[in-house]
Amino acid sequence: MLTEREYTAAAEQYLDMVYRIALNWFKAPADAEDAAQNVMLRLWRTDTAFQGEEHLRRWLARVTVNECKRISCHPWRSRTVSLEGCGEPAFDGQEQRELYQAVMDLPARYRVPLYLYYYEGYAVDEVGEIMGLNPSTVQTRLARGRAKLKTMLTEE
Amino acid sequence: MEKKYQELFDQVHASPALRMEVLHMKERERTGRRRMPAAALTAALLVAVLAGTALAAGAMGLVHADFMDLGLLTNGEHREGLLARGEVAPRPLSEQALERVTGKEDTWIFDSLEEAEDFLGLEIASNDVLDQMEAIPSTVCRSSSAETITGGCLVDVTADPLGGQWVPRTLRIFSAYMGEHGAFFQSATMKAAHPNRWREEDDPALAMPTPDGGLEVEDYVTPRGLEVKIVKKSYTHLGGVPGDYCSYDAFFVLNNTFFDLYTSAGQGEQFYFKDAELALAEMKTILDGYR
Repeated sequence: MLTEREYTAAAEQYLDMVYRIALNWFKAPADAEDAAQNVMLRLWRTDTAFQGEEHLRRWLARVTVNECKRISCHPWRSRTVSLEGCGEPAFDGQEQRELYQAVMDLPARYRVPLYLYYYEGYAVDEVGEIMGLNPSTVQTRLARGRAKLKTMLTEE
Repeated sequence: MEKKYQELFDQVHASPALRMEVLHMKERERTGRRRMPAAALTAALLVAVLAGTALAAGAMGLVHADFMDLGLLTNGEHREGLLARGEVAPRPLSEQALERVTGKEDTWIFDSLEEAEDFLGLEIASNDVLDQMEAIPSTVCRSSSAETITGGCLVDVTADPLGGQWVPRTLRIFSAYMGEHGAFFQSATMKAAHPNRWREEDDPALAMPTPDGGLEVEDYVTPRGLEVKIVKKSYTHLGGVPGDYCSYDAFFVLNNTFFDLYTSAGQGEQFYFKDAELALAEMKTILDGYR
């Protein structure tokens, strides 16, 4: 188990990543916060012996995706999945607000691979491992997500 | 775009309240209870919000579920049952898909639904709830050869010979998903458009004889306005073993494709869901995700 100090350091460093993955999954900040909190609780309670920073980071990414899946499949979400455009983060300018809206308008299956690939810098096969998908599926989702995003931004 | 994307998410941070809560988590026992999810608390409010969201006009189509004597469709023997049918227009396929059709019946195996969609050159439907579930292998049993085929995504193709080439008639695309409590099986049937087709293909349909426990139909409309016929089949015996078993088929038409989303519930290893009401509730969650 992590010591208190190790846990604090990990939370300081990776909470934003966990939250952003969950936000890409759910769109709704309230859901993303629920998922992020559950993930951090799992980190606090895990007895996994981490073999370094990268192991910890990837463990958190994978656990976040799994937690998001778990929450998504829960029956009480039957009336809660599509609260779109509610509670958007604050951005500096109009252009970023529009880009954020375009990203969040993408189907869910494209948003998380795009985030892991473009923001977190994971390779296609690593994204596949984190998400439980084969690399060719990840490749397809990235290509389609990129193309849809381009189309949406051009149309605006 | 990549740089802009990175700059965008540089500005997205967990809220100070969440940060505070997470940092104080170490004061908790290492086994304990989580707080009530915020989303659960707002569920009632969201029903009203969702009611205003509609699917794009023109993307939906008609689905029929009619009780009838199925003997007229099969071997002439009197058999009460229900025929589910979707009114769809043919969909165009990619060149590579048209070229691959080499027989009257064929099954193509793909790793995933996305790969199948890419190959066929079309998007079957978008569903955020299914996308977030784990994809599991599908299995089909070909009636012509009794052969069992398993794969990530299966595409059953029927075709007619015409002037030395095969002209595709219908495609049925199978994919399967595992939720928290049970599995769901989706089949999507479409007519294939082809420049050389000279006759109108019949609408895709599925006939279901009434089982020993009866058959009920529920009309369900999703918050996005998708009209669905949910057919519940109940059985008092299965394989000679008495018990309460049931299955649900949800039929609807979306994007000129006839869908059947299926799940089942009962006691026994072959059933994922142990509770029929839970199976129906999760099915409706998935149906709400189609767009």
